[in-house]
Amino acid sequence: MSTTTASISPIPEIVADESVDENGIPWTNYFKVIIGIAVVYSFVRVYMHAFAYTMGLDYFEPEFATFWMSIFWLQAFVCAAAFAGAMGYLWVTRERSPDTVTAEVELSRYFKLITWLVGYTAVVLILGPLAGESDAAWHQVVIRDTDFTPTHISLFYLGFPALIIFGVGSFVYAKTRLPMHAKQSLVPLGIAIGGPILVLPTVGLNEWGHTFFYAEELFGAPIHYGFAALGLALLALGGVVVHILLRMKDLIDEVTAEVEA
Amino acid sequence: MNKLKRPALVFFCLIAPSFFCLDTLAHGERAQQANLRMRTVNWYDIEMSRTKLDVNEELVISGHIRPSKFWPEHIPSVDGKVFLNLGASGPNFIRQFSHIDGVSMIQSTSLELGRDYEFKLVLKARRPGRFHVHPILSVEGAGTMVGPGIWVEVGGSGADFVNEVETMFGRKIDLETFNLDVIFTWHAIWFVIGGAWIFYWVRKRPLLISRMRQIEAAEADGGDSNGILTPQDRRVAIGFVVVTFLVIAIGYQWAESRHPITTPLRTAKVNVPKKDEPATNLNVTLNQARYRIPGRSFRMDLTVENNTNTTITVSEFSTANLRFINPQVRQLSPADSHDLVAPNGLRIEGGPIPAGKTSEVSVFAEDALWETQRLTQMINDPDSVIAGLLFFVGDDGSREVIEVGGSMLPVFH
Amino acid sequence: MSKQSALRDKLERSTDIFLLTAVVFAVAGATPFVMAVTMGDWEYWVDWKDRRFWPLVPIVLLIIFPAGLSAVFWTRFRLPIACTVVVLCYSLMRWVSTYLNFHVFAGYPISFVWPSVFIPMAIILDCSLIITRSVFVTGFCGAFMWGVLVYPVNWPMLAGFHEPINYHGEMLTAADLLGFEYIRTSLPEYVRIVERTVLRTFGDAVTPLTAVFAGFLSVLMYYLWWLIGSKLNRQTWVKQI
Repeated sequence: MSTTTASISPIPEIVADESVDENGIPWTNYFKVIIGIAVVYSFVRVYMHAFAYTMGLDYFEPEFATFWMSIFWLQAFVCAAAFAGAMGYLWVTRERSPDTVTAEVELSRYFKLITWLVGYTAVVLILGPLAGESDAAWHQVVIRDTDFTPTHISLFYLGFPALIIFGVGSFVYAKTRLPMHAKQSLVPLGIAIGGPILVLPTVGLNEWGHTFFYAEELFGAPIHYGFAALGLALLALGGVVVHILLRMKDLIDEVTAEVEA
Repeated sequence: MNKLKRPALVFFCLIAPSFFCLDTLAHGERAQQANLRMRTVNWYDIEMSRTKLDVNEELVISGHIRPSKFWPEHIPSVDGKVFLNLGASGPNFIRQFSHIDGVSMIQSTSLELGRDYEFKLVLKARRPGRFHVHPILSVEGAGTMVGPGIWVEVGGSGADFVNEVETMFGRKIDLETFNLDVIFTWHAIWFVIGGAWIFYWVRKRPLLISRMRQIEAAEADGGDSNGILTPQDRRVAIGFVVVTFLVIAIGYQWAESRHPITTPLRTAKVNVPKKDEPATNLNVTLNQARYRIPGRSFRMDLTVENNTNTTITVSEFSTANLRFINPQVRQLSPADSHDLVAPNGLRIEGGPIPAGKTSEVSVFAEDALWETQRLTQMINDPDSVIAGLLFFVGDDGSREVIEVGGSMLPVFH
Repeated sequence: MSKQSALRDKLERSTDIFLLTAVVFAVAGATPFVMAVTMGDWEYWVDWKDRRFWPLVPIVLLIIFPAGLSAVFWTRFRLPIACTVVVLCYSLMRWVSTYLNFHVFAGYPISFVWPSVFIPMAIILDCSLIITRSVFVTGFCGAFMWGVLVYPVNWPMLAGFHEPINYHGEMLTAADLLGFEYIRTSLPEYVRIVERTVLRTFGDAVTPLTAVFAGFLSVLMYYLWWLIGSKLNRQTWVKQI
């Protein structure tokens, strides 16, 4: 029996795409997304450690505006531009005839969808135990100031926009590229993406509550239950994984059938 | 990669100095509502034993607190639960001892409005840096009532910090590093065992789709979808369960033999003896309070009945940790850049009040501090009620501290 | 191996890597996030690790993600690793956060903020599935053990912190003293939800009683979240969102 490594049939779209290998798998993007998110957060983190206590304790001090509010506005601009740019690009370059997509191309696009989800879940990883708990730790040691604190600026005003970009991007990618999603939407995908994104408006409720009627910094306070409920929406990722696997199984069978034994 | 090196280097050079010294800003009390700061806890005679010390040296903060008689009725007050606390941007000091009226404040307590309490906090410096240190009274349901802050500089090295105590069984422990060897070892053991369990299953690759195929095929044939599991899998699982229980049992026995006697966590509310409102020989009525916004001038028209044996005059008005000093009576300068003292901030019309007389006195507290400390926001507070402490000094050196409060009218022109 | 099989293996292995990356990231991010805002207090501070609430609240809530994901991992793949994966990821990220957030950023000693161990309970729960091959029996026995074991599992680390200290004439445990000395400006002592003196003692068996109660609640939670996980794993589609 031959043990030579085989690849899928050379489809022009895959051959022309520099971001994928000969089997249409986007290894480069997979690593770029993970490393990119890690590098960005590392910078954020180093900056926060450097200037949170020295320049970030009092919103009303002039240094706060220089070191923190400037970052806030920069983030707002960059995130808004990135969102508009990414969604615009996905829409403009959408698949115009989903019925003609070959199995090889569809398989490659499923790998790309998973890459979007890797980016999304990498941001979840940062928002939960890293940025989120940095805010938890911050609130233990300082007096609650305004809603603009060093930890909030990285968590709410960079982290959540990034979550929205990757989450909505995943959904729009599926809708605009994958034939099965062209005319219908997968409910677990909607839940897994929508739930965490809805944490951002819940933040508004949380800040309002902490300002007006809940003075303590108890983590398990009822005012935080919205976060818990929406975080639980990520359980729906199981359904997304099952869908992806079921479809990829069929596609892998199809593409390997075309390879000579 | 070379393209990133230079900007990264510049970035790190800019921020590197910040890692070598902890120099913290003042806190966020200015975000609190003006009337909350004026009508909750009055702090006065605050003293810090020193403002420069090294790691492991002691700092004592003492003074008086007087929960306001004009506490907003819709906010839970000190008769619920309170805790004597500290704001120093983190555990840069450890609290060794604290008391209110001589009662140890390891636990929470409750107080009464309008009473005068003496407090003390004994701290030990833990980390080098420059910190804005405030005594705080935490009030359940209301939040942190922040006292005046003073900059404290701590020198030395954090690595020199030691926090040794002795248990009742003669074991000397350093709380900074206590039991870390046990904690790390125990966690490592379980990470290894848990990792081994996962490795056993994911070592066969490919994993997901091939298992899915086998299960689907078994179900399609009407077979047992558990057929994918082998007798070896079951034996390995039993082995892991046995090992897990064994390790738990050994660990528990080891802990019991090492610490045969343990006690539960301590919880109890402590009681500060009840007391009367501070006795006074003065009768002070606030007739009207006005805040003139353009001039940052706060005016109080008072009727003062002097039942003492000496002539008295107003030396200070204190509210929301701001101190307005009457320079005719007292010289006091701010201790540092953030000390909220207006050395010339108090002006009196209606002069000293002779013994046995009643006078109409107007007190003007005027300084930019009203604005920089965001107390001008009091005109935006739904209830226009203010309060503060007036300090009356007598010619014989005596002093009376009286709280006044009432409605406030803003003056816009 | 034929070319077809080799290609199939390569594609499926790549799928494993891509998907499991997303799953691990999701679990490692979502579990600490949800746990932080529900049972976080008892886990962040050694002076919250009492005999009544700490052996109950964290362990009963932590079963949510393991049970929900087990429904998928077991039903679709017969992989009894969901609980261990979730708890290992959770524990790893708790350590990262403990070190980076509570120790480096906030400045607390690790002896004050160390996380508990939950891994053995996860192993037992996963192994129960494969030994019994029954979700019902796993819930009844495995989940019960999950709830009951948290105190003995963590006692090797915790026991030392419950040694009494005569502190200026007052008896405190080392945990209490850590809580008193290491200042938490916004978490005053009265916020602490720990055991208080009650009239009835049940024969001084506070901890075993709490453990059994935790076991029962864990059983119920296991079934509930397995059901929810199953529902969420269904392939349902809608035409209009």
